[in-house]
Order: sequence, then C-alpha cells, then structure tokens
Amino acid sequence: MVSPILVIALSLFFAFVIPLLGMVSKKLPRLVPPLAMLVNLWILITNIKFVSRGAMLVTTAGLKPPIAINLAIDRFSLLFVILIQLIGLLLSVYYLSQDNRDQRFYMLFLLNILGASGIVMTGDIFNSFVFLEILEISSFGLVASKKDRKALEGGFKYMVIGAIGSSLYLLGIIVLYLTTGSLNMAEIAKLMPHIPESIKLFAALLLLAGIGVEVELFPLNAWAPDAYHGAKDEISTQLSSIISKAGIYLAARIFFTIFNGFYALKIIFYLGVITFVIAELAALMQKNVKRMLAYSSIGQMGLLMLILSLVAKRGDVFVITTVILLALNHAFGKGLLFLSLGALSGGNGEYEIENLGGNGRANPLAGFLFTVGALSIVGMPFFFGFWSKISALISLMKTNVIYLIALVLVISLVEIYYYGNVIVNLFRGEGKKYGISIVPAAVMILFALFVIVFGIWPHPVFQIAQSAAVSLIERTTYISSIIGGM
Amino acid sequence: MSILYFFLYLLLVTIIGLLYMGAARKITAHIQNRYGPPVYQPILDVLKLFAKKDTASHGIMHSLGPVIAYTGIAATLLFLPLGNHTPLLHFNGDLFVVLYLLVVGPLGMALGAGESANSNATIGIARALSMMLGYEIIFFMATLPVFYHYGTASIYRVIQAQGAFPDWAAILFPISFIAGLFALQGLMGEKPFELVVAPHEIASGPMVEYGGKYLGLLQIWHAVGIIVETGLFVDIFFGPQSILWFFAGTFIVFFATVIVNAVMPRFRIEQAVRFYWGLPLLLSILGILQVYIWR
Amino acid sequence: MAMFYLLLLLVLVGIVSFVLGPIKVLRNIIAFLGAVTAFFYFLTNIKPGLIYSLNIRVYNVHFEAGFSSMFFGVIITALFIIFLIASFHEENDGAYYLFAYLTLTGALAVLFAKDLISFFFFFETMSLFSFLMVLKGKSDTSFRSAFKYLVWSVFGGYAFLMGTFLKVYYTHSVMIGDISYLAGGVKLLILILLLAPFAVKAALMPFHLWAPDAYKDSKDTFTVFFSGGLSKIGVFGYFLVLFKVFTEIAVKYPYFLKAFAWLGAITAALSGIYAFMQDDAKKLLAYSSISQLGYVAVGFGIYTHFSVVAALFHALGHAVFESLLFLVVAGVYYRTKTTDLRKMGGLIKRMPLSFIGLLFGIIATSGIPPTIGFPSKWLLYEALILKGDLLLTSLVFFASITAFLYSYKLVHGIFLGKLHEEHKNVKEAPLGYAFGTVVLLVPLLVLGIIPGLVIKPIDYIVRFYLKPELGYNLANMNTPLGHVNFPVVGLVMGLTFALSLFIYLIAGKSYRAEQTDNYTATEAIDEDFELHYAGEFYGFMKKAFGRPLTWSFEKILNAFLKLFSFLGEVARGFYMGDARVYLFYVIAFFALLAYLMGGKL
Repeated sequence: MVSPILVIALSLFFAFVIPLLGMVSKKLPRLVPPLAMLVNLWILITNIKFVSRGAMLVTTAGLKPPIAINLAIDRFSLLFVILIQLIGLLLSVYYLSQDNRDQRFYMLFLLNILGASGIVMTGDIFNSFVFLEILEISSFGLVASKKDRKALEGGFKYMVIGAIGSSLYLLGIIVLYLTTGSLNMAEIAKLMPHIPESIKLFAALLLLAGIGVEVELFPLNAWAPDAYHGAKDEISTQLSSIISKAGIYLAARIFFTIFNGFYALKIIFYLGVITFVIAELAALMQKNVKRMLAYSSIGQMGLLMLILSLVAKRGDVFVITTVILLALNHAFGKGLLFLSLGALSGGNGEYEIENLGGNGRANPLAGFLFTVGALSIVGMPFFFGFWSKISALISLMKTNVIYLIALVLVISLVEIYYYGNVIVNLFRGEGKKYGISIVPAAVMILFALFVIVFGIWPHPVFQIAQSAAVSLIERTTYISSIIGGM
Repeated sequence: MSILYFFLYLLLVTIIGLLYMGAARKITAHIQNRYGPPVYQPILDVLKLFAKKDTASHGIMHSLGPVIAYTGIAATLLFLPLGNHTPLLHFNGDLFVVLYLLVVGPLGMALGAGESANSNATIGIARALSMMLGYEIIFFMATLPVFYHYGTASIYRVIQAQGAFPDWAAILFPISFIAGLFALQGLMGEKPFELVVAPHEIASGPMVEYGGKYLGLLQIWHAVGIIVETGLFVDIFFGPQSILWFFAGTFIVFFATVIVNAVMPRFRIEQAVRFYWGLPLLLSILGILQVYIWR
Repeated sequence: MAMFYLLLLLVLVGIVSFVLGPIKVLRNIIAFLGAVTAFFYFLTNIKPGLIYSLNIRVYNVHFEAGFSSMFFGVIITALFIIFLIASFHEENDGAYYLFAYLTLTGALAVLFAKDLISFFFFFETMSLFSFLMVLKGKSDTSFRSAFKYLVWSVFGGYAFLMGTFLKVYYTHSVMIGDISYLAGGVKLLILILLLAPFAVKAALMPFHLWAPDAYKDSKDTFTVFFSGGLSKIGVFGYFLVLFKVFTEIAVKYPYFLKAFAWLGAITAALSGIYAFMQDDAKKLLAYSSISQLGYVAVGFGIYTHFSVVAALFHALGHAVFESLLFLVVAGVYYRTKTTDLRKMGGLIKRMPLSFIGLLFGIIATSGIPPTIGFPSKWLLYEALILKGDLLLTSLVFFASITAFLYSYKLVHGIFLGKLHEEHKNVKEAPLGYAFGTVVLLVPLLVLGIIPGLVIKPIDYIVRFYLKPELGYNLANMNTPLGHVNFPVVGLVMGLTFALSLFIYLIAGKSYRAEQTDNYTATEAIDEDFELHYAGEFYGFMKKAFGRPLTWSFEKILNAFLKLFSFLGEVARGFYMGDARVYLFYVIAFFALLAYLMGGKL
C-alpha cells in the first residue's frame, strides 16, 4: 500500500522541480504535470481496494485524530480525487502540444490540482481552508495567465470575491473551533448535536460563503462569467471541471457530514433554484458562446447544489448518486465544450456566434465534439447527460418537489434553445478552417468517449457513484472510523 | 341486360338534361324579349359537335378531361334515386358517395382544361374551385339537418322517411331549404355566380380551348349535371315522388335558377365567396340549430 | 427477443453504412438490404403480444408488441424502404444513412416501448436523429427549420416527461397503464402532457409551427418518410394515450375529446387554407399533410368504434398518398431543381409516370373514390353525423373542399399548363423514384376498392377498447347510418368511364395542337409569352378572407419568446456590473440572510 499522502507530497515536489528543470531545458517543464498526475493516479488506484465503507485514515506525524492533521478518505472523496486527477491528467496532456507556456504556468497548474485534491482528501477542516486558499490563489493566476485585459479583469474579480469568501470561510472555522475545540471534521461532526442552534447557523452561513464562491452559487458567482470568458479555454475547462467539483465535494462534506443536513441546506436549496434559473436565462440571451457556456456552467452548478440540498429532506443514496452523476456529466461534458470551443475559434478569442458561423463545418472534428458535449449537457439520449438528467428528475420526484420537475424541464428547454442555436450556427454557411493537432484532438476525443460510452452503458458509472454515495450517506460510519465509537 | 338498361337510362337522362338546357335558353330569351332557339336545339348542337372532324387537342389529359367529366357525372347519376324510382344502385345511395362522385366531373374538366396552357381556362378553374368554398359548404350544411333528423346518411332512406306534401323536409326545415336554394344557384353555376364561364371576361373559362367532340362531351356532362344537381335537391327536400313528379320538381327548381340567372348581374369572385359566407351561412347554421332544438 | 434483434439490426446497418460512407455502391447495397431484411424480419418474427425486457442494469427497458405497434411498424418500415431507394439518387454521405437508420430505430422502439421512461428515451432518440436529418437538408434555410423542429420536438418530449413523472408520482408505476382511477384534475393534466409530443409529431395546431419549414427544407426523399412515416408516431401516440393510458376518458372528460376533435377540424381547415395559398410545392404538401392529419385527430376525438377505425385507416391512407405526393415532387425536383410552382408547368409531356402518380395522389388526398382516401372520409362523416355534432361536420367538410383547391394547384403548377423552355429536355424521374411511385400506387387503388383488407386488422386494434359498431366484410361497410359497397363504386366508375371513352372514340377525330395554338382574343403569342397561370393562383381568396388570414399562431409564439428574452435580459442584468457591484451583492446577500434569520442569531 502506498500512502495517499504522497499524492499531496509528490505534487508539491513536482511543482518545485519544475523551475529546476526549466533551467535545463525549456521543453522539460511541460512533461512534469502529466507525469505527476500519472503517479498520483497510480497511487490512488492502488488504494481503491483499501477504502471500504468507512473512511480510510491517513495519519501524519504519527498522531491519532483528533490531535494531528490527517487525511480521511472514503469512497466519496476517492471518487472525487480520482476525477480531479484524471481531468488534470487529460488537461496536462493537452498542454503538451502548446509551446508558448511559461514554466510558472505549469507550477500553478500543479498547485491547482494539488489544492483541489487536498480539499477532497483532508479530514481536517482548517486544512481544507489551506487547500482552498492554494486552489483559489493558483486559480487567479491561471485565469490571469492569458495576460490580456479580459483575463486580468476576470482574474481580479475572481480574486476579490474569492478572498472575501475564503476569509468568511476561515471565520466559520474559527467559530466552530471556539465552540467545539476541535478542527477535525469527524470530531466536530460528533459534537454537532451539542452546539447551540444559533452558533450552528452562524458558522454554516460563514462556511457557505466560502464554498458558495467555488460552487458558483448566486450571488457569489458574479466572478464566474468574467473569469470563464477571460481565461483560456483550457483554464475554463479547469474551472468548470476541477475547481467547482472540489467545491461540490466540500459542500457535501461540510453540510451533510458535519452539519448533518440542517437547514443551511434549505438556503442552498433556494439559492440553487435561483442560480439555476437566473444563469440559464442569462445564457439564453448571450451572443458570446464562451460567456454562454459560462452561464450554462453556473446553471448546471445551481442544479447540482439544488439536488444536493434535497438530501436534507430525505437522506437518500439516490440523491447523492444523482449529484455525482451530474458532477461527472458536467466535468466531462462542459470540459469538452470549452476545449472544442477553443478548437472551433482557433484560439483567437473570437467567440461571438456570428464569428463562429460555419466553423463547425470547416472543422468537422471540433464541430462534432462540440455537438457531443452540448447534447450531453442538455441530456439527449445516448449521452451520459440523459442519465444524469433523468436521475435528477427522479430525485426531485422522490423528495416530493414535483413542481421543480416542471421548472427543470422548462429550463432544460431553454438550454436546448440556446445550445441548439449554437450548433445550428456552427454548421451553417462557410467557416474559417483551423488546424487541430493530434494531442488536443485525442484529449477531446477521450472526453467525448466518456459521455458517449457511459451514455450507452451507464451501469459502471452508476455503480461507482452509488457506492460513493453510500459512503457519504453513512456519516456515522465515517465518524466512527476516524475517531472511534459514537 | 342490366348494362343495357343502364345505357338507356343514361341516354334518356342526358336527353332530358339537354332539353332542360334548351328550355333555359327559351325562357331567358322570353324574359329578354327575344324568341330564342327551339327547345331541342342543344341536342342538335351536341350531335353536330360529335360529328366534327378536326378538333384541336393539347395532349392526352386535355383529351381525357371531358371523358372523366362525363364519367363522374354518369356514375353519380347511377347512385342517385330519382324520387320513388330507384335505379340499379339505390342501396348504395349514400350522401357522401354522391357528394364525392359529384366532384369527379369538375376535376376531370379542370385537369383537361389545365393542360391547354391557356390562362383563361386556368383562371376559370381557379374560380370554380374557390366557389366551392362558398356554395358547396352551404349546400352541405343545408342538407345536414335533414339527414341528421332522419338518422341516416342514405339518400334513399331520407326520401322514404318523408311523407306526402306537408311532411316534406322543405316544410320541416324551411330555413335550411332557403339556404339550400342559395347554394343551388352556385352549384348550377348560374348568375350571379356565373364566374367560371363568364364569357365576356375569360372567354368561357375552362371551355375556351375545347371544341368538337370535347365540347360535345362537356355539353352532355352539363346536361346530366343539371338533372343530378336539381334531382339531389328535390330528393332531399321534396320527399318521395313518382318519376314524373320528380322531373316536374327538378324542372321547377331549374326554372327558378334560370329566372334568377336571367335578371342578375355577375359577382366578382371574392364577392361571390363572401356572399355565401354571409346570409346563406347564417341561414344554414340556423337550420342546424333548428334540428338541435327539435331533438 | 425478436424486437431487440430488430432494433439491433437497424443500428448495426446504420453503423456499417456510416463506416462504408465513401464506398457508395457497397454502402447503398448494405443500406438497402438492411432495410429489406428488417421489413421481412418484422413481418415474420414479430407477433402481437410479444414481450421482451432488456435489462441494462440501471433500468429495465420493457418492450411489448401490440396490434397497434404492428400496424404502424409495417407502415413506417415500408415507407423507409421507399425513401431509401429513392435517396440513393441524391448526394448523401454515410452519416446521413446512420442518422436515417437511427431515426427508424427510435421510431420502431417507440412503438414497442411498454414503459414511459423508455418511451421518452426512444422518442428523444427519434427526435434527435430526425433533427440531424433535417439539419442535413438541402438549402441554407434548413438550419433554421431544423432548429425549430428540434425545439418543438424536445418541448413535446419534455411535456411527456413531466406527464410521466406526474403519473409515476401518483400511481407508483412507470408502465403505460390506466390512470382513470386517479382523483381530481391531475389526470387531465397528465393526459394533456402525455398527448403533447404526439400533437407535435402529428402537427396538430397550435403545435404545427415547425412542420411546414421542416418538411420543406429536409431533403426531398427524406420528407417522404418524414411526413408519411414519422408523423404516424403521433397518431400512434393518440391511440396510446387515449386508449391505454386513460381508458375512461369518454366518461370522465367528454369535453376534452370534443375539444380535441375541434382542434383537429380547425387544423384540417386552416392548414387547407394555408396550403392553397402556397407557391412552393413542398410547402403546399407540408400544409396538406398537416391538414390530413387533422382528420385523424377528429376521428380520435369522436371516440366511437368506427370513427377510430376511420382515423387509423386515414393514417394509413395519409402514409400512402402523402408519401406518394412527396416522392413525385422529389423526382420532379431531381430533374428540374426547383419546387417553385411558378417555375414549372407542362411537365406531363416529359414525366408521364410522375404525373400519374401525382394525379392519383391528389385524387386520394381529396378523398375521391375509388382511392384509399375515400373509405376513411366516408367512415369519418358517418361517425360525425351519428355523433350529431353538425357544425364540426361542416368544418371537416370545409377542410375537404380546401383539399380540392390545393390539389389542383399542385397538379396544375407542375404538370399542366405551359412547358417552360428550360424544361424542354427534362426526362422522367429516375428509377428509384419511379419504383416508389409504382409501389405506392398499388395500395392506393387496391385499398380504395377493397378496404376490407385492412379494416380487419384495424378493427382488431380498436375493438378491444370500444364496442364494435361497424359491420364490414371484404367489400362492404355498414354503419348505423349507411352502407357502401366499395367494389361496386369502383366498378360503376369503370363502366361509366368505358362508356364515356366509347363516345369519345366513335366521335370525330382530333389533331394535336401546339402549345401556342391558343385562343387569346387576337393577341399574338410566341414561345416567350407567359401563359402559365400559377403564382397567386387563388390570389383573390386573400380578398375574400380579408384580415383574418394575417392572424397566425406564430405571432402568439413570438410574444411568448419575447417574454423569455425579457427575462433573459433581466437575468443578464445581474452580471453587468463591475467588481464593486459584485462585492455589493455579497454584502447585501449576507445582510439579507442576517435580517431573515435575525431572530435566531
């Protein structure tokens, strides 16, 4: 057994190696991230069989919790960390084909993945703040790495709101620490029944502020359109496929495991609905495809959070399974959309619909991949999105919010409308032809394969998601596996 | 044997129809203070037309058009009871069979005339078809209460269900009867609905390119058509009649349309259609309401 | 298992034709053989009552073949073959055939689906791939039409899904089954929601707005299948929902049925009017197709045994004659590269077989005996009068009259009138089109003369749900109102035709006149003289109709879309500010939360 702590340690190590290698050769740094991801994935995969229903505890400094910093990995976190590393691997392979990168970029990239993985794996709430900071700060840098006006603007907005969010998050941790005297998640969870209601609510709201920025909840998501729009296409992929996934994990872990449902989830429910509706409607009016994707991404996250909050109504495995399915669909589908949009626009920032007209016909592969991504996101049959959307609706039905099914369907129709409009425009008239090199194409095809293969045969994903969901739902097992009996 | 009977029957009705046409010319002439041709003149005309040797044809459909037209009207006639007199196929005398067979004739003529590449002919047909949106629907709506009242769609049974004089559908459904009269004027293509032929405007419309035997076929089509159309009207509204009274009835109805024809000017096409969508439509709806109230 | 094998076969053939894309001859052979195999496999192996459930682990897909699915399946598969053969003449790539086959797969699977979720799945599959088929259409506007079609079909699909969830929520069963026992108005809501996608597919007003454009802009041969075949899914759905999902509808909501029938009649009448106002052959036919499907809705709305028999028979008839018309127009387009009625004319001399096809097509469309259009119209009228809704009957009759108008306009615009100079050397439509034309003419005439051949299977479908009232044998049909012997009608027409022909033949001879040899009131005409009266054919009817003709459903829809645009603008407004505004959001948000939870903090 290889300790999962190495995932974090090795990532840090690789990040520091990059400048050294950069001195040797300009070409070497870009080989580091894929290597790191491969090693990490290997470590994680060897650990799969050791993670049973409860959490696997990885101690540091030889001390047992609740004293020391430790990692607590259950199937839920394992699924998310593998997802993050996998997308990271795909993206780092994508970067292999690009020459004009600064070596600092690769460091930021590695740190970003490291932060996201750390959030998912840690069993310590303060540690999660540290990783959140790493994640956010590296993200600001990544967004701004394009160095034009829009990218800087997006990065700046992200930074301002992210900084407020994370300081409030820290405040929330302080409140919890003051009342429970512990920073260990399991310990806090165990003590939760003894905390007064008002303190609980206060802490929950403060934590929500930090998480809300990451999961793009209204009104904390105002940075998102600018950041997505300003950033490079791959970075947008990273924002939607990795960073927001870490946010979802954190939300589930904190509001379900620690707060045990509670009505912070009720707030998330309403915020989720508002986010979903407003973002999708905003996307409807967008003429700029990338911004449209950004709004769509926000909308999807709103739906996700809305479904997640349903777990408060009924602690159902299916609801969490749905959340995971939606997250996977969003990670692969939206990631594919951003990447293929980059290929369609030739990487020159022309994202207006009229400028893209006919580009799908001129670049058939990219056009096809964009179509696949869009069809999966809107939930067409034979794509993975179909299963996640149906699951979402079934979750809504199971939790008796039948009127929301109507809302989701109406908004889905809005989605069809604007995605359909883009697809149709992509294949209309004569467009500009851009070359696409083999590596990015291969990466995108892998993204597409995920949504198609598991769209036709969704069972494996369902099974994995279900076992991960079970491990989240059984919070007592999680707690007792870390700090013993309850 | 029955086939021979059927030929004779058709021949007889054709001749009677041609005599009606002659009578119409005579009546119109008298109203306009002229003498007019003899009543049998149309028969002579038709014979002459059939005997003509060099007739222009614009193609196969142009030639077949009049043939189909006569086919349609002859087939209709066989499904139509003439009062109490029941032809071979009275048991099939269903209103909708008759209504749809009745369309075959105009369709044939329209197809034939269409091939001639003469705009006058096509305009005439466009008018004829548009006019159907007016009179045909009124005629249908006027007869509906009768069929609904007697609970059958068979013309034969409608005739039998009515009794002697006061028990006629015309007496029971006076409003529908009047609406039907309006429709009949259009159905017969007489003024003020004589837009299809309109000799001064579009040079007799569909007939413009027809001469010789084609015109002859169209003449006998028209002749049988008069009997079928007025006969349908008499059947539905005047109950069971012996064959003589039946023809008397058709002649009276025909006479009325001819008189109106003689004194009326011509509508423009949109006026004609709109006219039908006005008062006659209202009357036919009232007729339908009447049968509802009765039930 | 047979059903699954059939669907699998279709998918595989689609994929193989896609892979073989560039090798045209081989691809066409495979595609053709695949369709024919599927057709015969369908006929021989699939029997009513066959049940199969496919466990894909996350879900159990249930299939069941019933009489109705057999009936529609045969129609759809047969039309697919006809479409396929004709489409080989067009320039198509492998993907086109892949999409075509997947469309067919979806359509057949919809017919077999036994539970609502699978039904939705396959319905969406069909919508998606038929959307792609339209997207691969022939003109630049096909994109707009395809988009419209997609949004409308997905709208229908989502309404269906909503209905599904409501049904599952209240009955705890996902199977297609009765909901009559549910209390309250929710069953009406479920009914309407479940009917919506079929109203879209069968283009019932006001759900028809996609149809004229999509029919016009899809490739001509595909329209044959699209209009004739895929719209049958809508009819199948009417049957499914009104008989299997809500068995007691006639008792519980007779007014719903009445409204449905009226909607059908309005569709038939209005589309008829729109049809004869069109100058484009395909658009005219599109409206005619919508109009004819309106009768089907009327038949279902009356909800008596023989009205439903009439509706199903008419659905079959629609498949035959509307496909025939579209096929002929496709052949004409293949030769002349236009569907504009004003630019054609006189083609009867160049394309006689196409003319015969179109002629019988319009005769059937108008419902004139002895063609397939007549028995269904006759039955429908009998049912209407028996039901006693005379105004509805009148409206349906009005719609039938419009059929004469647009039919004549079509045949005149293409085949009659003056032959244009540029079409002097046009040839007959190629073999693939001619094949379909001839094949479709057979049922068109045979079933018009001996309707009993298909009345029997249709009766089997219906008699299970409604008390049989229609007496029939091979030749006769008896309703409480009347009786028709169809072969006798055909025979009489044949005899009288023989007589008329006899008169024609014994009369004097005729000679063949030139086109320009016309009466024109002494005006001299030559070859360039415009004699073809085709544009604005019924222009004067605009005056007759006046203002109401300018009213349209599209305007209502546009107002609705404007509302959504407005909402979108409002939503976008939230994200227009700079960083300070966004900061303000965060602070305001927490202030609000603090205020709302003031008591608790």
